[in-house]
Amino acid sequence: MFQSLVANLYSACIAVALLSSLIANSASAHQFHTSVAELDWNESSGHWEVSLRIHGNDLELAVEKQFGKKLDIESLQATDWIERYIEGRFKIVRQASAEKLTAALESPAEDSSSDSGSSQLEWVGQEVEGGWMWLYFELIPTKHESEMALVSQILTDVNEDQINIVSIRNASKKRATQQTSRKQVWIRM
Amino acid sequence: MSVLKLCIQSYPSAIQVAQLALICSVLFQVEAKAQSITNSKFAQEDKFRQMDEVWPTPNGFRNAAGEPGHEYWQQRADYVIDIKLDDTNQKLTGNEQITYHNRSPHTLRYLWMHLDGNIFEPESDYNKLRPAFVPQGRLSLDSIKRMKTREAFDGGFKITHVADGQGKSLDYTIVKTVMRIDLHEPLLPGEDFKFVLDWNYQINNSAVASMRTGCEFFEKDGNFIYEVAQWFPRMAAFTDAKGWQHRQYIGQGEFTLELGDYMVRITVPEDHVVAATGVLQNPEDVLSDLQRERLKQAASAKTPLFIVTPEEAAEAEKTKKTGTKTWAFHAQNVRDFAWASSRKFIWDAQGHDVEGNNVMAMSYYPNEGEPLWSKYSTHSIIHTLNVYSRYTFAYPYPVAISVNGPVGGMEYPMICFNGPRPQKDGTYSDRTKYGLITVIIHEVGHNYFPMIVNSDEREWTWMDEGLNTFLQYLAEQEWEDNYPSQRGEPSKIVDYMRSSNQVPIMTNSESVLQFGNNAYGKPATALNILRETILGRELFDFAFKEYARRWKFKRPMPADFFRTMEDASGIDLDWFWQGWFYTTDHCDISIDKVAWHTANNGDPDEEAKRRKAVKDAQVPTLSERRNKDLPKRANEYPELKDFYNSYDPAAVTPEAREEFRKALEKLTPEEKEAIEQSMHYYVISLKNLGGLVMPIILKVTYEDGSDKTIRIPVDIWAKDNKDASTTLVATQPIKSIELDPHRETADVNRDNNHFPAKFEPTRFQIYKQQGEAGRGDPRGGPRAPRGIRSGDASAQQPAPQAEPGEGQDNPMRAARRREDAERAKREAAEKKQAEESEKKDDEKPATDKPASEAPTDKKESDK
Repeated sequence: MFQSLVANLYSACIAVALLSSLIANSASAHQFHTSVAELDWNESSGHWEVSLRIHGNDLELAVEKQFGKKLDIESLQATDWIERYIEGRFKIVRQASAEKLTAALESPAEDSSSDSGSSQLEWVGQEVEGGWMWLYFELIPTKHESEMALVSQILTDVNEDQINIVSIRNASKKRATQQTSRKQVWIRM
Repeated sequence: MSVLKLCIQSYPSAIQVAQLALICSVLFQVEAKAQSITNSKFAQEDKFRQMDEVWPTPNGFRNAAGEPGHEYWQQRADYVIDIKLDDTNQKLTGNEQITYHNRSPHTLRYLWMHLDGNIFEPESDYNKLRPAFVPQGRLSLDSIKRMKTREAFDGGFKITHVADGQGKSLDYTIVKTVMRIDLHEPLLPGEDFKFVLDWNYQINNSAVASMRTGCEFFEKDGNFIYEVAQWFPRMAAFTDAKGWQHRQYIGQGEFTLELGDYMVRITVPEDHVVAATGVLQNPEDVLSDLQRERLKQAASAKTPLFIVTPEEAAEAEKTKKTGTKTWAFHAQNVRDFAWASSRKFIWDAQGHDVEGNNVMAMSYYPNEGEPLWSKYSTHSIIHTLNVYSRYTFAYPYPVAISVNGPVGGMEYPMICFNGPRPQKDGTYSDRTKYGLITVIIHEVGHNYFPMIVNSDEREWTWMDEGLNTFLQYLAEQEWEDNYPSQRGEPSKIVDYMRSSNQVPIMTNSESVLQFGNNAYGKPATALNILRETILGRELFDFAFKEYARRWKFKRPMPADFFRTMEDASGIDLDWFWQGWFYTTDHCDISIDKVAWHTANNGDPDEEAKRRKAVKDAQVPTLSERRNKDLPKRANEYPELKDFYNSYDPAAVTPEAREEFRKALEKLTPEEKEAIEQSMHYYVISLKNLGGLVMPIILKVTYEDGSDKTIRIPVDIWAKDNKDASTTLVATQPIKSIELDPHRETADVNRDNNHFPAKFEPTRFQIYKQQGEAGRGDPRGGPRAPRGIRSGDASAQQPAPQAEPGEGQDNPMRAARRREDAERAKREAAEKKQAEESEKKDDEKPATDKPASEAPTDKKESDK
């Protein structure tokens, strides 16, 4: 059975996009909703270097949902939209802000969008690999406090069961792997 | 039996299964207690412990070799069904007659049936268990309307009549998605029971409620495509290992049923084309003479031929005829029956000989699927049959069908539903192209697992999805060079293997976390590793084919697969099943340290030199230095000195030299050569950090640049699964050592795979470097950095250039646009040239180009 449809059965927000996801790349009757990010600390630039693997179909849906733009996600025109989408959903913030973000998920009245400590994103490029896309960008941390958090809300707006695996290799080259989901949108750095 | 075994075999509740990961991680503690095997003196799990304690005790139904036993039995159910499609109201009304054959040694007082359609009842468990959806962003009125429509939709079965063969009604009890039918008389072993049911239900519109079945509405012509599956009350499986399989249908675990013969008569509008499991019995009633003639030609054609052409399909969708036709299909030895119907269908077919069996490969799709579908669908079907049959058994059915409609990808016997379509203008991205080929290979491949090798997905998803994804990978790699397979290569599962929140592959379908990776990717990769690295292709392929042969049209359980693979390959794989299927361990082996030793060849002179060097290298102690100049009595009275004052114990005696010479004489020339070369001994210490035991593959590069790959079996971990070491003997110093150089073990951390230590470039670095070196494909290459954004992202409004109304752009369309522009330019130039030459006509003789040199119109020539 086709993956992205089962969980979305009721999600009316996405219903309009059902047909476009039908023409997409799925090889079976179940859900595959996982993204994978690798973060490596670059000592000399002081940036986090990020490779993010994501399903092209899902990204297409997400961009369409957020910006109302129906695009071929692989086309050059889509790059700016992808960047804007990622920028809003993948960032390093102070842990206090991340906690606020969780609270906002539970009661949307809370506003958590502004954080002067948020990292900035510098786009590097993207690459297509079968149904997957690799996105490359750098995160430039503006704060160097000990209590920082990585927020990843990639695709949690379109897939209820989205899991974002995040693998971080720090300055001492130690790698730790954690994950975020719709409910738990951030991890400790 | 052990506590653990009870847990696994009683098919535990969701909570128990969720704990399975935990249970498995303490596997041996639990077992040890139950079996009084305790070991307080070695703080390690036994990762090579035999699995017999966990697997079911072999019996007459399933033997210890993994084969159906001498008392193996399975039930059978034959169906005769009449079904009527109401195209105006998208409703099905049907009746069925089931002949149930009790071939078990048990007397049955009731029968269980599946009513999968009840998943569409508003109050179904599926709907109640849906994760809470927190709308993110604004909800449009349209969205709210859709949500309400979906919530109100009732697509459950309405059962109107259940009676035995004599017309005497039978009591039945519906338990959500299953139904118990109470028999008037017990059904004895060997007896048959005939009964009838009438039912009807509303077909789900895929735009409102999408599932493995449904209809799709096309606004522009007002027509539907119906893909109809899990659509009639179906006999539940009754087995030696499980009893009745009446696990509820709640979404993930697809199904298993009994094999049987089907006679199905489908009544649809007279202008519909019907595709179904089985062989059409009455072509003269439903097909035109021309269509029958085309079918006859297609049976022996070399490429797919149209039975209904795109033009005919386009014509058919313009009108809606009011009459009906009944299509009759007969299918033998299938475990289910599905069908599709529409007046929009184009239909192509090609006969193909699959290892001696003549199969009609056929595709049904609307014009919306063109030109992609006529180009790839039927070819993909035939390719799948060829490759899969080679690794399993010859495809035994007379037809193999792929249908395009609302379902993204779902398999049924002989027929499957596949979603991908091109853009409206007929262009498509490579993602769509490979998406289509991939999904067709996968769904046609499901004919082998689980339609013919009848494993139970309501219980174990991996037994069909995992095995099928493995064969899908093999088939993809035989389609074209560098086929973009998403699963199969060990490097592609690494991210999952090191992620948290995992459960073992051996987890019930409904409790699986990270479903695609767990049930598709990990087992497919494990089998690929088993084939390439552990057993080798020859042993693996023999064993895998043997498993398929043994369980063809039968019902295997997990242990039957594990046991057969060991039985037929001759290799004990308990450690492999335990690590890959029963735990969440991952492979992370590190080169901990490397110690270097050189050898003593026994030459007394060289030995003396070495000893002297060692002695000379010693710095005198403080006291030795201070005592050196003290007056010594032996110097004052020289008579105190004797032989021992001048004897050098390190000096080489002639006898020793003679002994060495004699020893050398006894050596063969080879031994002499070996001893003359100075040998280097390396002791490589390895640590198992991930828990999963795997063979050691080392690429050793020597000082002169030559290299060699050494493969050490997994048994290196048999006595100690945390630390291991191995010795390498070399005639020259080693420059570097790399662990798992061909990336075949899914080692999750390659930073610790090198001696001397080395960090491999990250994917990010490779990409960035390639970009700096210049990249051909503008879509793939990094663009010039455009600086850092200000924090106010919302102020930025990038201007995408998608054409209004046409939706997405893709490389194919861009190329077509370029071609059109070039042609226009060329034509303009030619026109200008022609005008000029006309002017010059008076001045000199005409030198018109011959027609063949005229630039061809690309679009024309494509046709």
